[in-house]
Amino acid sequence: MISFLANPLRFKKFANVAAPIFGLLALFLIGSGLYFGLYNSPEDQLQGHSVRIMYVHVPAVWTGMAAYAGMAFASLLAYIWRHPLSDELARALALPGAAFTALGLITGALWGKTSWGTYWQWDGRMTSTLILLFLFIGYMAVWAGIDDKRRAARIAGLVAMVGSINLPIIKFSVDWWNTLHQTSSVSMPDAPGLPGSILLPLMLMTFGYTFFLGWLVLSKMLNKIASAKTRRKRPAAATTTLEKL
Amino acid sequence: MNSIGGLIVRDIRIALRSGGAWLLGLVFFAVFLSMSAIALGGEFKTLRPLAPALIWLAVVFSLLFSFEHLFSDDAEDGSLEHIKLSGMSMNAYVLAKVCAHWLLAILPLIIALPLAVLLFDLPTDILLGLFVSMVIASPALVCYGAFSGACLVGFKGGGFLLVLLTIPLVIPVLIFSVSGAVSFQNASLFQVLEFQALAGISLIAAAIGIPAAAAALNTVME
Repeated sequence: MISFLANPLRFKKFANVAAPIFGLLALFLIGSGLYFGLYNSPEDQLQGHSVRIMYVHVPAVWTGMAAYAGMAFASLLAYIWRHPLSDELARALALPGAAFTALGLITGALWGKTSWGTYWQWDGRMTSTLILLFLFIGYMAVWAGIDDKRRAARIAGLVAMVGSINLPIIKFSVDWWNTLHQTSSVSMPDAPGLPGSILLPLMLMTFGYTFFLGWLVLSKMLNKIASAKTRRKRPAAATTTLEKL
Repeated sequence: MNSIGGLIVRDIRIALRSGGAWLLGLVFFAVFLSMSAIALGGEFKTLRPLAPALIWLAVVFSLLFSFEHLFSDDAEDGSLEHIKLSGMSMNAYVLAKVCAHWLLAILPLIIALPLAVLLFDLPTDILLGLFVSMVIASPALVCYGAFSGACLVGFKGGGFLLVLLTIPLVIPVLIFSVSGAVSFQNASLFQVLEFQALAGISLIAAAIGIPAAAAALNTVME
């Protein structure tokens, strides 16, 4: 799969077909997910209607984390094989990933205000999500700040890989720190107990977000390929015979 | 091995002849602590529980600002190319730089710890805890800082980005060091869970940070 798509032409063919499909799927899944989530699902016994924030919040954080994992993996591929498409993939994942993580944090704060009574809690999950956002911002700042794009790709890839090795350590340390210091017990609704009427919109939204991410990334990469091509376009040929080639 | 030692001696000699610029980290450390004490009202009763965290923050920030020039001076005057041409591996070069930086930037802070502890009227147990946590955690700080410094060679206005890149990696160190320094009071050295975690983090940081910094430096000369 990876080596098949490593050819930019084949990738372009694939992306030209896949991007609109992903976009339509995302539209359909998010639309139906919103319908089921906002209108056609039960209220929570304790939280009332505010539980519906979950359908926006949980998939956003999941997608953000998936984007970071994809970014680190694409950086590894780019580091080993020095494939420019892989660099573009990692770069294209950064901004949507950061946006999803930020969306997760913002909706989480709103949800926290209605159900815990506070916008922010130095809870293990929230803290590590915030650090994930910092990692995304640092990665994008490297791309933006280094002029030589080939070097920027190399350095940004290193930053993504070192960050991904450290993420488990950060997660572990923050959880450990939190359990030590926590004064009020705060817990998230855990997945195993969810009934189907809640699980359905959650899953619809999760897949919808994932396809949305796929659509964003593929379109961005197609843009990059197109602009790289125009930059490299040769001036019009002097002889007519060459045009047949 | 010889060349690593030679590089360390060279770095220390350059620093000593730089007119005391290497001591600015120590000055920043002192200024940061006094500013915190002033901002928090100067009462020992309120300062004492916060002091280990403040001292660690001062250490981290004083170090973070020192990494900006760790490699950029060598890259600008061309010595980096010469070292590369001499056939020395980049890993050995980074190792030498990291050791020299430990001696120049961290050792003064460790020596100054008793004075910092005096500022907050802390008991000796906490001083010992801070001392041990700094010795164990400092390799992690230097290795991750060296990685960020190597990434930002030739980057204009890199100071803030360096802080942004390094902070997420240093957060576990900060968490374990502060709580280790506090819980050291009523336990023996090998019982403190935090110090074991710190030792592990330092080893991982050395294993990742040094090769990653070397790889980042290689991109400068591609």
